[in-house]
Amino acid sequence: MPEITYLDAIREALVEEMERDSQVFCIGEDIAAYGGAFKVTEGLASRFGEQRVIDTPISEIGIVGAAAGAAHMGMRPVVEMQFIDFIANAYDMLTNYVATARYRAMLPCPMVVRGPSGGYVRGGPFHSQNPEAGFIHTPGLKVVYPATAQDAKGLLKSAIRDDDCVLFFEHKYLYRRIKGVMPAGDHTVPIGKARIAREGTDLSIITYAATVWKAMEAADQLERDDGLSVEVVDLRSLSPLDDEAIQATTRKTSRVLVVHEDTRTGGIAGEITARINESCFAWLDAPVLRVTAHDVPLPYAPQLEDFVLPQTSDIVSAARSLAAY
Amino acid sequence: VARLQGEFAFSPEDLQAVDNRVRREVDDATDLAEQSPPPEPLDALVGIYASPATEQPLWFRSGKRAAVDQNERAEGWGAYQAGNGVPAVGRVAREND
Repeated sequence: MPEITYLDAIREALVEEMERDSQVFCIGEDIAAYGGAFKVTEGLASRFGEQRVIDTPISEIGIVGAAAGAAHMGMRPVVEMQFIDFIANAYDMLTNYVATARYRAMLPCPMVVRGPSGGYVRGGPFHSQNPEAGFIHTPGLKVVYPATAQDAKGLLKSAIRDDDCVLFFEHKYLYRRIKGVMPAGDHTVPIGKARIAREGTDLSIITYAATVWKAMEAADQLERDDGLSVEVVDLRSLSPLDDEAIQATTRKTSRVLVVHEDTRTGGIAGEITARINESCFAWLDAPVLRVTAHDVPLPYAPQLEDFVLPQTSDIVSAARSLAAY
Repeated sequence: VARLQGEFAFSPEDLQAVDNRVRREVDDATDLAEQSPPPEPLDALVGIYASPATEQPLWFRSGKRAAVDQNERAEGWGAYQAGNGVPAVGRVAREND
């Protein structure tokens, strides 16, 4: 089986699910004729027709609202945000309507909202955001954010089949940089299950999305230069969180570093830290530390973006301080 | 353009003057940008709020060896000794065993 990119894995998941279930359809801006801003949906309109790959006006709240109505009627919409930054325009529909529909009115809302997320690509403040924390905080929404091509495909297929609304964050830095061989058959990845990306015994790095790869680089460096055995946990799902995996790695190493590309204040690292304190405090040999983006909008200039976002060297220096504690 | 000329009495010379002014303004701005040095990394932390005007770098970017160096910690709590700490785990720790 040949390797395919993270981006192609997402497209493959869409194709397979649209072939498997005629109720699955895609809707978003420029996804049909143009194939999407990053070409994720390229070829889908000619394959499935414009009734199932629908170009819309620029109105994120309208797109999500239309998708919610279709989901109530038994369809399985997959909404594309051209950039995930624009999901803010649909915040009301997602948090006040979609997230509460089942609870309020027993209205099922099986839909996926997906889009290119994250920085490290010199995209500036409107094309580089990581807005996941705002939605993790909302009961009724599930949130996933894969780091590998295999997980991108498997999680998207699971998200489409899920009976609730799943926000599927896909990292644009990984789109064409990360490749993987897809498992044979109907490959799905369960929502809510983390992955051990690297086994280790001295300290744990809990992370997700693009910073999984930075954590892996840091772990290699720490093993080479410091003799540290670092475990890297790729969360994959942010809501629900895999508490079992978080607790297991904490009990195993007793030193935990949480890393994410999102800004620090209100980021999920704080939630993970609190859960570790609640469940595993007696196992800790050091305070749980965070490496995150600074609390600023993401600037365009490369020097500034590099400063604001967490880098491999930051993870190395934080891990060394944990090891020294 | 037709509306500006028809309803607001803009002459071709007026429109050309606007074009020239905009072009000069953009050219001046791009010249200034090209002649200026790249921004310093700490410039990223300026201008988010009126007050404070500047955010502080996170601990791993501020020269601190550990988060605990800048946080309150009870005397004797934890094995870490800033500046001369022996790692509690890793190769050096194992060699000391």
